[in-house]
Formats: sequence, C-alpha cells, structure tokens
Amino acid sequence: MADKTSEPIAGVKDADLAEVVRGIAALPSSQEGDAERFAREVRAVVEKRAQSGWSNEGSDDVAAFVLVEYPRAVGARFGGTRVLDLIATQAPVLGRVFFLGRDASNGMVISFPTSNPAEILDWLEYNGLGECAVILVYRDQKLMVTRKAGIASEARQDSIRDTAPTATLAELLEALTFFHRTKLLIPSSCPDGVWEPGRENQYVPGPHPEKCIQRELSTVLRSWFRGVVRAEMEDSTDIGRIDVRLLRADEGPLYYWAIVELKVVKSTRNAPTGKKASSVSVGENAKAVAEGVLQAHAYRANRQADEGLLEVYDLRREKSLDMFKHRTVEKALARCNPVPTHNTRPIFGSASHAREAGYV
Amino acid sequence: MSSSGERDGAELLSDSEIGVIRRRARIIMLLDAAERVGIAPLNAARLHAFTYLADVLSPVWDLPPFDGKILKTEGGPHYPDIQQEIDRLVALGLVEVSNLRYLNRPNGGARLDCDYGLRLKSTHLSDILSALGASERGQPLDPRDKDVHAFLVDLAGALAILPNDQIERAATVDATYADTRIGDTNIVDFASWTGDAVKANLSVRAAQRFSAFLPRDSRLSPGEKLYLYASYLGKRINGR
Repeated sequence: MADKTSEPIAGVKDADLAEVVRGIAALPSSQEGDAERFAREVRAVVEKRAQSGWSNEGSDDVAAFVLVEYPRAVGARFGGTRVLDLIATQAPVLGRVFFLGRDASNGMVISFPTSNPAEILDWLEYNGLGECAVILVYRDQKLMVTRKAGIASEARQDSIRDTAPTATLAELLEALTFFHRTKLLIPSSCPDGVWEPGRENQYVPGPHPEKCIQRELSTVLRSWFRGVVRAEMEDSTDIGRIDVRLLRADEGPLYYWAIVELKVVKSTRNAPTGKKASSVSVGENAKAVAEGVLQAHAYRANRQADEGLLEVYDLRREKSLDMFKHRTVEKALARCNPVPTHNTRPIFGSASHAREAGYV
Repeated sequence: MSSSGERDGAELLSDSEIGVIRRRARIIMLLDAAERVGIAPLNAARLHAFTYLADVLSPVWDLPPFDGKILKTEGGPHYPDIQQEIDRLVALGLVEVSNLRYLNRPNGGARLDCDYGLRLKSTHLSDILSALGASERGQPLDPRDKDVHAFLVDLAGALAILPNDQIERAATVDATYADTRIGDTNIVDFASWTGDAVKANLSVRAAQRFSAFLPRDSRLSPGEKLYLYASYLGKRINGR
C-alpha cells in the first residue's frame, strides 16, 4: 500500500491535497527527538506573539514551557487550567508556566508560582520536574533559553525574532553562520561525534563528523525556517548524495529552493585515544573540497534549485591555508557556472584557540 | 481457542474474554496517547472518532487496524462494544469521568455525555501501560505494541492541530467514512471482509497520495503523512 500514490481518489480533490502539502513547513517535525521538537514548536508560539508586538500580554516578562509526559496530571497538581491550540491562537504566555506535550500546543497552564521568575528552575526541581525539558522565555531580552535534558542540562540560547524568517540567500547564510557560531565553534558546544572524545585539542575528528554536522544543521534549519522552508536530510540521487535540501512553496507547489553540500577538512583521520592518528594531506583536503564544489554545482542543476551552497567545516589545527585558493579547488570552481556560494567555517579544538583567532 | 476451558492446568480465556481484554487495552492506549498530547479528557464522540481514525489510518504505519469495519451513522463513528468497555474501565478505576452533563437530542429528550481521561492516580495504571508498550519504564508483553503506541501518539498529535471541537467532525469528513457510495446505516468496510483493502481504504490512499505533490525524491515519514492528513480533514471541515 505504501507506494499507492499515482491515482486520484474518489471524493478527494487533488487540489486540496496539494494545498495541504504546501503548508508542510509549518507542521511539527517528526525528524527530531521530543525535546528538540518541543523547542521548535515553543519558538513558533513565542515568535508568533513577538511578531504581533506581544499584543495580548500584560507587564510580565518571563514565561516557562515544560515538556511533560502527562500534561493534565501535572497541571492538576498545581491547580492548572486547560490550554488548547496555543499555536493557533494568541493566548497570553508571559507570567505563566505551561505543562505541554511535545507539539507545545495543548496542555495545562498556571500562573508563575514564584515571585522571582529566576527561582522557577528550583521550583521545578522541588516539584519533581527537574528532569523535564524546560524553556524559559524572556521578552525584554528577546531570549529563549532551552534546557533539553532538564534544569541541570546545558542551556542553549536562541533569540526571539520580531520579524518572521524569509527564504532568501541572505537569511540562509545568516542561519548557517548562527549554526557555526553556536553549534560548532568550540568543543563544548559541538554535537557528539564531531571530535573524537578526549582528543579535541589534538584535532582528531570523530569517525563521521560530516554526518553529525549534517544532522545538527538540519535540525537548526528546520527550527530557523519553520513555516517557510522544509529542511530535509540527505538525498540519494543518480549522481550522488545531497546533504541538506531545502524546499519551499511560494504561490505554486513545493520545489527545491536550495541544496547545501557539507565537507570537512581535517589534520588527521579518526583514531581512538592511545592510537596515533594518521595525517591528512593538503592535497587530500583540497580534493575533498573540489569534490564538494562540483557536487554543489551538479546537485543544484539536477534539482533545478535556486541556490547551491558548499559549507566547508575546517577541523584542521593549522587553518591559515585557504582551501579555496588551492589549485585543485580553483580548477573545480572554474568549471562551475554559476559558482556555488561557498564558505569555510573554522572549528576549534579548544576554546582558547577560538579566542586567539578572535572568535569568542 | 474457541471456548473457555482448562488445558495443561492453565485456565484458557474464551474468544469473547480475549476480545474484552483487547478492547480495554485499546481504549487505554488511545486515552494514553490523548493524554500525552494534551487533548484529554475526550468526550465520547471525540474518543470514538479517534478510535475510528486510528483504525482506518493504521496502514499508514504498516499496522493492521484494530477493527476493519464500522457502521456508518449520521452522528459519526460509534462503537457500542468499545463504549461498554469504557464504562467498565470507569468502574474499574482506570478511566475517570468528568464534565458529566445532559445533551439535548435534536428530536426531543436528552442524553448523558461526559469526558473521559485516564485515571492517572490509579496504582495499577503504570504497570498496565508498561505491559501495553505505552511506557518507557517497562517491557511490553508484545514488542509490537511499542509501534502501536507510537502510532497512536503521532495520530493524537496530528488531530491536536485541529481545534478540539473539530476532532469528532474530522472522522465524519474522513475520506473513507464520507465516501458517498456508502449510505448511512451501511457498513464501512476498509479491512474486514473487503477483497481489496488498498482500494477500500480511501483515507490511506489520500495519505499516501500527498507524496505525489512533492518534488522528485522528496519523502514523507509516516508521521508527516498523519499530520498532513489531519490538516486535510481540517480543510474539509472548514471548507477552506
């Protein structure tokens, strides 16, 4: 039954199905874990309010969103009231604590239980909710602080945007820069697998750093462009594999708007602690980048996408050599028309190296 | 196992008793999914609508429907045998009733209605949910129930994108239930006796057909198909 898509269906208008599909970027994503999915939806709830000037809000500044297994049961413990369709409506959120399911739209709400909003994490812990994913929203600072694995877990900060994202190359580059700065720059913010554990400052990468970066980038782009662009991971084509593809719908059907090819350049290959990591030569790195250039160009043409991008993540210890000036890469660039938009993003094996390079 | 009896010292359950247990388990799993996405408690009509949509859309997740047929009625899906077990689960203290009220009937008189949710304070519920694959805290009796539970949570989440009072209406505009070739008081058979379950289940065909409107090689997950189908039902309800 899975591939039965070709025939129109009695009583079901194709035009209706097509219109629904065009809205797919605004639906909850089933490609992430519950906590990430929750964060994406809370961001949509909050930014919807920010973009309307917080019109239904009072003087409160902070809101808390807590992902719980059973919203009704948790809310009932604290005398909460039911909240429905949080995404679709403009119900006020500030000065409130929400206990919600993973799509952050339905659940229970209570007034802030602590006079000082900063004490909410302690309150959650005291009440046995310390291990729940929690997001604190600060209107004045335009800030959303996400702790995906509970109050003691790493706090991720996202800005609350006053204007809705748009599908432009400039905005995509902004999102890619944000991803690099917040998710990759230093080991403590890097996703697992980019570096070999314990060997970051020796610049030994993990076994499959591209895969880890790709997965995290897809998540960030899905959140950044929610409602505007659908980000999909990996695509096997007859000419190779596209790393990240971005689909959008304007007036017509969904189409490939941009494809993003990822490459990693590195000083060494992967090796576990205690084993010598073998070196990767400049020529090998140049070959990888040149291949990325040609892939980004070919995939863009193959998918008739508006934009083709190549992101090169530089895990080398010594980063002074510009890979795009290497003769092999220059030859590849010369074969492309249009030339893919390309950037090199340095990733450091220690925070001090990033600081020395002027980043932190 | 066609009748109750004893074999090798073990008490055997009859088909009827097994049916009762299966229906009770199904209700608990449906309500658990509704609780998790924040749409519980559900009134009776909403719960029956969810029950029906879970049956008709099971193949989207490559799962067999719990019941492959339903009597089509003007008011929307209603399963008398499920309702009977809901009431028994209330008596057993596993399901709780709230918002008990009279609803006027269109032709005079009134009927009782109420909202149903899991009685999460029950000391038995945690073990039952574990056995049914609806909890991370234990192993299910049947490992496949984990998939069933994941499907139900996804479907409940998909239906939750509709305004709450539209969930029962969603079932009445469902492609299979609303098939005009099947009149009221006739059986809607999408998997029980039909010779061609693919052809008979218009809902699944619609959910699969979304892929036809994506660019080449783009794919939808089963969960995304459910969310898109729920959006489609919302569109039909609101005529947008």
